[in-house]
Amino acid sequence: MAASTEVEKKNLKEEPEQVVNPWEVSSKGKIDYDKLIDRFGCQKLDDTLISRLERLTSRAPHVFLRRGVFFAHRDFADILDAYERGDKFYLYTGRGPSSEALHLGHLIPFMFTKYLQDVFKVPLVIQLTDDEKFFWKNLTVEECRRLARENAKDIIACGFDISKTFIFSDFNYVGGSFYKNMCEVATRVTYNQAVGIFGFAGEDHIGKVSFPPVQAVPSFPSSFPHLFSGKENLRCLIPCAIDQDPYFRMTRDVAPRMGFNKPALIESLFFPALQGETGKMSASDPNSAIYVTDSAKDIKNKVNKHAFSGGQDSVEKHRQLGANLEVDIPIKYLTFFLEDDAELEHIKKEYGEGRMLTGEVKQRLIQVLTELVERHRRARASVTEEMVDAFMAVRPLPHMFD
Amino acid sequence: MTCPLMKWGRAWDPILTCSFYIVSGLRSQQGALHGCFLPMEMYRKKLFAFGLTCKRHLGHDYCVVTKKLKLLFMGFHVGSLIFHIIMIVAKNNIPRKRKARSNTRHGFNDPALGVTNLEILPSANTSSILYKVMGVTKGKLLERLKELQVNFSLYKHPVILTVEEGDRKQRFYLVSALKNTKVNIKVLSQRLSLGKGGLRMAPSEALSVQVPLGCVTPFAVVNESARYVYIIISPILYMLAAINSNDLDTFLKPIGRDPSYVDFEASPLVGKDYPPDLAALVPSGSINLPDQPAKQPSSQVPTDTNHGSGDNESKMISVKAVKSYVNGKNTTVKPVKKAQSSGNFADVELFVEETLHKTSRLLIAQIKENTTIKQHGENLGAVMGDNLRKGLISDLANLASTFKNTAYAEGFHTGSHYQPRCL
Repeated sequence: MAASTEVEKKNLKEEPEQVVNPWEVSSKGKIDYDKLIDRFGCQKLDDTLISRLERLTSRAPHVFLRRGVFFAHRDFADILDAYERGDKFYLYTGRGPSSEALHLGHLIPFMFTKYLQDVFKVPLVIQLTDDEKFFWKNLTVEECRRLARENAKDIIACGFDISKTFIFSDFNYVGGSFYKNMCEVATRVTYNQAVGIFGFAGEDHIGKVSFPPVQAVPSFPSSFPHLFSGKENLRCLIPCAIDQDPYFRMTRDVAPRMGFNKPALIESLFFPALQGETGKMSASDPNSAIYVTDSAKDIKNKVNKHAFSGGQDSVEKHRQLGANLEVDIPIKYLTFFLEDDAELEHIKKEYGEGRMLTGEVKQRLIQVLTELVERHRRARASVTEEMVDAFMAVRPLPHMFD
Repeated sequence: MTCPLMKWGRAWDPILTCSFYIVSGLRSQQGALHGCFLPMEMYRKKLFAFGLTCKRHLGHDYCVVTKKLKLLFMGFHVGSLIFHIIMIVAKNNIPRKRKARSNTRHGFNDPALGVTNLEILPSANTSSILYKVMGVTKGKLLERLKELQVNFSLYKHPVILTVEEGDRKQRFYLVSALKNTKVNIKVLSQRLSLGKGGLRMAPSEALSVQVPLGCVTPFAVVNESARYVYIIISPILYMLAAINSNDLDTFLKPIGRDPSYVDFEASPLVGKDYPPDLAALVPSGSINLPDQPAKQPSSQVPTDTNHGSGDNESKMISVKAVKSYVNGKNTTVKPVKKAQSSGNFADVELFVEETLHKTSRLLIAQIKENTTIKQHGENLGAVMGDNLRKGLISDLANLASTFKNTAYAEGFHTGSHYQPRCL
């Protein structure tokens, strides 16, 4: 949509108090998500949609939906309409494998996508953008490919159904119809538009400039002839974090001109770092995040020592004033991961009024996180090289809608 | 009038100096003592100059003092000269384990790829010594190789190796590499997860491989005394050598020495994201005794035996150790001992066991929590059922999905190797 890029330009001229793009997320204070929604032009995911989802799928909506973790969307209502009519869709998500160590923030879109796959019974393609990391980070090609494979194992450990999932890495898969679509997309985006959307500068190499079509193209079913041949009208739903929105804005702009359906998006918040709300978790600081390889002891340590607490300085003051739930990280984490709504409400109430202490909240959080990480680790242990090869093989999925 | 001794001293001077340098040159391989004579020499010269000035200023009287000093020095020099000569003679005669150094050359030609005949200049470190001194004689070694039907070309090639001491637990790593391969000990030590200083060159006393250093080849570990030596081999070496790496594995495996092939040129990042890639080679805990091997089943080895000297054509043997060969893509070494999986995740019995175990555990926990009929009355069943459901649903879903994925992957793998019979 050319209009959105103009809006984008106008906003850039204002003071950049928060920077959100696929390669950088930072802000002076808390990230203002409402402003982001305005700036990007997406819609807020409201309760009516969630209850509609619940009705359609006859299952309780996922924790992330209930707690507002996935809070924005584009055309999700259309997807639900089509699903009601009987028209299926497919899911598309991805990961940039820049490091071997995955933290919980990375797992969020995958956990949600697994839920969507289970609930709608639709196929899923997962893109590992090893070429993006090659362009943006100082890594060799071999290293990127190796990391992609290692990350694939962690992704598989999230529990995707192998008979409905296709994982591919760019270095392995790009070519054929995929490349044809890439070229079609590339001809319809001018250099100036790309600079406006992604902020390329004169000294950026042409690899960076030519990368966006690679991420855009999996939203078109004709890129996967072995999966979707004959289903040219299949819609696509993309669960991702909100900083990936620029890629798909560009895609939505281009899709009608190519005769394809626009992909729908459903976007999530950033998972806050342990030290506070100043940005997203960073793979370079080990104490800013809980990694999936952390032991129970590590988790306990990290939460107790580094988690930013909204409690007061002393017990008396705390009992008097209560805790500041806005900035308290353990409460935020529990919002993400604690399944039981009632229990979370109870904790929030007690903690906010000062009856519960920070230590107890942290204790509960440690329990929840340990269980999560332990489950993931067990699943990861069951992933063999054969399984990775099977997930990444270019094969038809005959039961993908069953 | 000049003192006769001083004249004598001056005449001695060049002789002494030359002799010291010759001696130092002879000992330069050790490099140790050369250093201490230079300062002595300089001191002597200074003293000599002092003496001259003394004489000039003070006349003949002080000649006596300098004379005595001169005698002292001369005596010292002569004595040490004699000492050195004795040492050199003794060294050459008494067979001693000498500390081998990497990267010295005794006439090893780098053949071009494809040429397998290595022209070697004869030197003291030929394999004849090797076989003589080894516990296993040459004849026996060749017999053994024939037994295993290993292809090899018989020629003398002095390969200079290093034996490096492991960590405090006194592990030894026998590192074989080509001359031109720079084995960076620091990097290797990091890669073996021993930290930056964990690896040192082994002192000659610690060596127990029963061969003179400088010709310690992997074959030397046939000896019992070399039981605790781990072998790390650069694959390039064996690409060029006449013994195929697979054949070497066939030879080494029966005696319990699984070699690991490591690319020494690579210096991979070792840090949080990149665990030491060779850590698998450093077994934690005590050194485990390799079992005395049973006779190597010859079914693992192809039947053709080619003892030609220039022939490097050996068939690929499907030995398990092939897995450890470094491939071009990545420089990590997979552990040679195939990791035993903790159980097949697609095993039906295991799956059922696990499910029942989890269910009964939860049930027992519920009963312990005083969930009685009094509390819930008729709804006890429903309540317990509900709780069970809540507690088990995600765990069981994970178990089932692992089961499904594993079974599918196995089927896929089998299917991709399926070769339809042509009728």
